[in-house]
Amino acid sequence: MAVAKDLVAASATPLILSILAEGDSYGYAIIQRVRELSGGQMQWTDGMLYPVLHRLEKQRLIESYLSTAETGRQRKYYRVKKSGTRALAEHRSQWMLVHSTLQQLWEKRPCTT
Amino acid sequence: MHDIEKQIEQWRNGLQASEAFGISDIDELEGHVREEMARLRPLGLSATESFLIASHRLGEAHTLESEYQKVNARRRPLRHLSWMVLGVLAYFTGGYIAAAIFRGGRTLVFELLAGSVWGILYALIGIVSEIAPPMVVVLVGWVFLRGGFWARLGARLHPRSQYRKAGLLVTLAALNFVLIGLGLLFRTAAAMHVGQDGFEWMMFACRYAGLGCAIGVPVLAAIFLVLLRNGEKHCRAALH
Repeated sequence: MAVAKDLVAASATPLILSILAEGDSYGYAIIQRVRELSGGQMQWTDGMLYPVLHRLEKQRLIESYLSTAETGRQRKYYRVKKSGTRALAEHRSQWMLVHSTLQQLWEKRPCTT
Repeated sequence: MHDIEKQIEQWRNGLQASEAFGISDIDELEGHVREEMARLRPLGLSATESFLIASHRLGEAHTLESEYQKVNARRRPLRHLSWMVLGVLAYFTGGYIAAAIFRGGRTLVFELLAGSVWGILYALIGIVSEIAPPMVVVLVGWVFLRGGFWARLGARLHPRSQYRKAGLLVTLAALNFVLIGLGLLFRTAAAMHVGQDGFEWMMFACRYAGLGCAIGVPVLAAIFLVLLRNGEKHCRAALH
């Protein structure tokens, strides 16, 4: 079951912020982490993550810095800022609200499929 | 191995031809492609195969371009403006320094011929005092750009488009330098070897030659830029 594109796009910001809240990371590792957590069912077009990261950086929710990777190449790492943590809390409560609303409906009338 | 580096370089050039991507954006995407390639290689794929898959997974070139364009939209006009300002500054600073050097040089030659030690000293001081202010400006600019300017200067023959534009600016500034120098040398020679009438005629010719250069050099620059742009478009079309 592949997740619908709209849902993938809508969840990009909370996903990135949540992953960065675990610790600083970089584009490729973020994509791998999402793939791993969703059991490969949430597929991003790899390149599309970067404009989202840059947008979050412009909104000052995250910040970036360069660091040398184990391969010797310069790698751009991202770190969540305080405003990003606050934004994540906001995203979280909204998603929880959607989740609990749907759950109440589905519990009354369980899905048979 | 060499082939794959060439392929990556070509892919980079394709992205660079679009103004949607900055150098750091392309570096980041290249890093991604290389990591994906490193993951795919042990699965038994060749370097080229893993590169093709990794770059394909980044998404369609035009979708990627439009996404980056949205994020970088505000930066683009600023980048154009900075190139224009840099070009105009390079042209006039080059011209000013050249004029000061050759003017001072001419006085120096006369003083050397006259054999006056104080005269030579004054001529040297004259050159330094005229050149020092713009050099300070250039130095401050260099510190501001944190050495990036010289790096680009050295890489002016590099195939990357940004460096090519910097190379073009440097070439134009150098051309301006040479033209002004030649003009002054010509006038000096004229002053030394022809009579009053001939000298006035030469000055008249010089003024029009100068005017020709003032119009001709920017026109030449515009032609160069158009050719550069067409080359990039061609390169981009081939890659897309």
